[in-house]
Amino acid sequence: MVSIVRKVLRPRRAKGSLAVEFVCGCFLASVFVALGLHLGIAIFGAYANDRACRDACRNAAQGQDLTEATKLANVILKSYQASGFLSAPKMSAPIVYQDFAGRAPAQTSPYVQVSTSTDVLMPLGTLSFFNAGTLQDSKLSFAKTYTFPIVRVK
Amino acid sequence: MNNVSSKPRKSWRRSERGQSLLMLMMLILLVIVPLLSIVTFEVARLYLAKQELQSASDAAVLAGTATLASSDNVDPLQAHKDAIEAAIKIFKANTVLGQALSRTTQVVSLSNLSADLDEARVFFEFINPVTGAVEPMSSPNGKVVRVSSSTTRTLAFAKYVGINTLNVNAVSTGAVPKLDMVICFDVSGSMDDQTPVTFVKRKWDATLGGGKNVYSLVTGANGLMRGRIFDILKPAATGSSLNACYPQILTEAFWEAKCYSSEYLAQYYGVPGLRSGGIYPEAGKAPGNFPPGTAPTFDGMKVFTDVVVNIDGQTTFAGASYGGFAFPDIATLTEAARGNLESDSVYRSSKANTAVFVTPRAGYQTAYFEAAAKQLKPMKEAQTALNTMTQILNTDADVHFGFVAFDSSVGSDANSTETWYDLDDYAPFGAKKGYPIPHVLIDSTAGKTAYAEVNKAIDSCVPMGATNIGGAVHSAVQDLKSHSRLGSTRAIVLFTDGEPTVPSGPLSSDPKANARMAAVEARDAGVALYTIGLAQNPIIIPDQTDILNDKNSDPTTGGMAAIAGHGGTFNLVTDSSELRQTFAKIARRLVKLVSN
Repeated sequence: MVSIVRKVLRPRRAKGSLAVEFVCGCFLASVFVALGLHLGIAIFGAYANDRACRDACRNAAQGQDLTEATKLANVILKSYQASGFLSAPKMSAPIVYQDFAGRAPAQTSPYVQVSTSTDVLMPLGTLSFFNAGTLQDSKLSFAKTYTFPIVRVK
Repeated sequence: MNNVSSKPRKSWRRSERGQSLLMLMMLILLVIVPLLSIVTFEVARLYLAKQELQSASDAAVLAGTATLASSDNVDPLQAHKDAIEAAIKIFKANTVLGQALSRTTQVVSLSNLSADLDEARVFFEFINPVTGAVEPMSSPNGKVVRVSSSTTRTLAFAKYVGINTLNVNAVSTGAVPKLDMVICFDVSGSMDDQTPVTFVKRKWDATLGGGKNVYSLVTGANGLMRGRIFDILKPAATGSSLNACYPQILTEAFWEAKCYSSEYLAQYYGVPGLRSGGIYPEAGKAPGNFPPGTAPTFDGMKVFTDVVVNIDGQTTFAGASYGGFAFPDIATLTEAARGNLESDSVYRSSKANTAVFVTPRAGYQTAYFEAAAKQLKPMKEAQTALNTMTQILNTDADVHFGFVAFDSSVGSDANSTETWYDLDDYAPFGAKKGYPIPHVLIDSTAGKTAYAEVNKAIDSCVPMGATNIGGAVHSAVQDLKSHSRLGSTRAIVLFTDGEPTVPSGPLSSDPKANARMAAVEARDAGVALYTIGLAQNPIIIPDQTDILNDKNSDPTTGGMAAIAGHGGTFNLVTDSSELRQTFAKIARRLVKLVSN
């Protein structure tokens, strides 16, 4: 009887609890790390798309006409290769090339408008923290439009 | 003694050593890492916003600078306002963090720049490139554009800890580069081919009343000789050397309309001339056939004595007044041009009083030539357009100017002249005098823009001679190589209404090869060549395009703009009224963003 009581009253062995706590903690932490990773990749995608769009637009503004502007923009976009989670940027809308046929109205500058988009593949698609529509296929798409003046009008 | 109790008892309590390490790890993993992620995300997002705002500002300042430099406006205040408006339109067309900058307002002070949520503010300054000081909007020295912009955006996560918004700012600066520019201006004889004129035969008719001067219209090989010179003479594609004003080179009419100058015929036959008996100066002289028989009248031949400008600008002169002087008819134009209306005595001795019914007084001749100069087309339009371009660039950019007027030759300095007879060189008649062929050297001295000298030189030019394009560009390149400022952008603006003709040189005896070799010199000197071809006649377009184009850079077959490279362009103008806009466009091409 005494031995039974002793058995019952004996403190539970704590050996292994550290591992349990560590695993639980790590599991929770991994969620945060994954979220942080997603945030990082998202912002990286936004940066990449912004830079590609800006450079493409600036280059397009050197063109003498729509055809040349489109070629110049595409040259820049092709120089941005797909890498890892990032797709290559692509033109998301036709270039707007408004040179007013060399007769810009007063107080108005001829301009070129370039729109690009870049897809970012989220490594952990199930952790959709934006919305289901955006991340349906674990991809987040960034779009950007820049408008630059055409300086060298023909 | 109980065995159990007598043994050293093993503690089942876990040691607490190392627990703090565990807690620290948990703190890092569960609190600090997520917090750092969020903070990093916010900072990166704001930096993205700043980058986007910077790009929008760059676009705006570039638009503003380009507008300022190409503004067809010589009022600095209006030019600056135009630049601001154009810049704001481009700025508004951009976005920051997916939100359009359409809610942008211009502020008048840098202290008001801080924007409210989701709006943007911009502040413009115009800076003197020499002193670095901010200039008022009305100052012509404010040539560098600086845009300060600001926008406020909501934070993604920090709002949960009470930080809702954050402001981002950007500053962009744009300016036309330091520009050294030489204008090569074609003053060849064809530069007045669109001028409305009337060919007149002035003679004494003793059969009318007691006798009187008569002024008859003339018919040449191409019909009645009244209207634009080009239409009357129908010259080759390169145009006619006959001029509406001095030096007139009247015999040119024979080559193109088979119509003789009376003085050429008189000299050919060795008889007194019909204009004034071959006597010069001719003011106060009656027609050469007064009294009848003194000089032959060449009736039955295609002969004229005078070419006068229709100062009303019409094909058929219908009367005009200028500076208080009345010019009711062709007779008055003819006598005024000869100086026969300067006083009552010359009025009477020239017999003008028999046919011209205005009050003679000093200044009539000057008034006629001033009024005529305003009708010289395309010369006058080209001069006005060039004046405008230099004025625009002088107002809006840091430019030093040079100028090379050219016909068959190039002057050596600002006061250079070329000697011609006023009326004819083939059969020399009229006063032999020097006509301006100015060459204003560009000056590298700080502040020596030569703006006033160049404009004076432009205004002094008159049509005469042939078209040595190569000689002019060669001179301009040498000027830029020797006298341009260190670090400046160098450009030549070449204006011509023709193509290279003989005489040629100094690089080749072949006019076109000469021109192309000069373009090669420009290329080697790093000078851009902007060519403007005014095609008064569609026939000349192929040849003009061939020699001036910006597509073919072959040094032996190409266009001058393409051969010289460095961004120069060819601008074909088919109507002289487009010149102003063309020059403004070239001014715009010289713009670039110089710094941020």
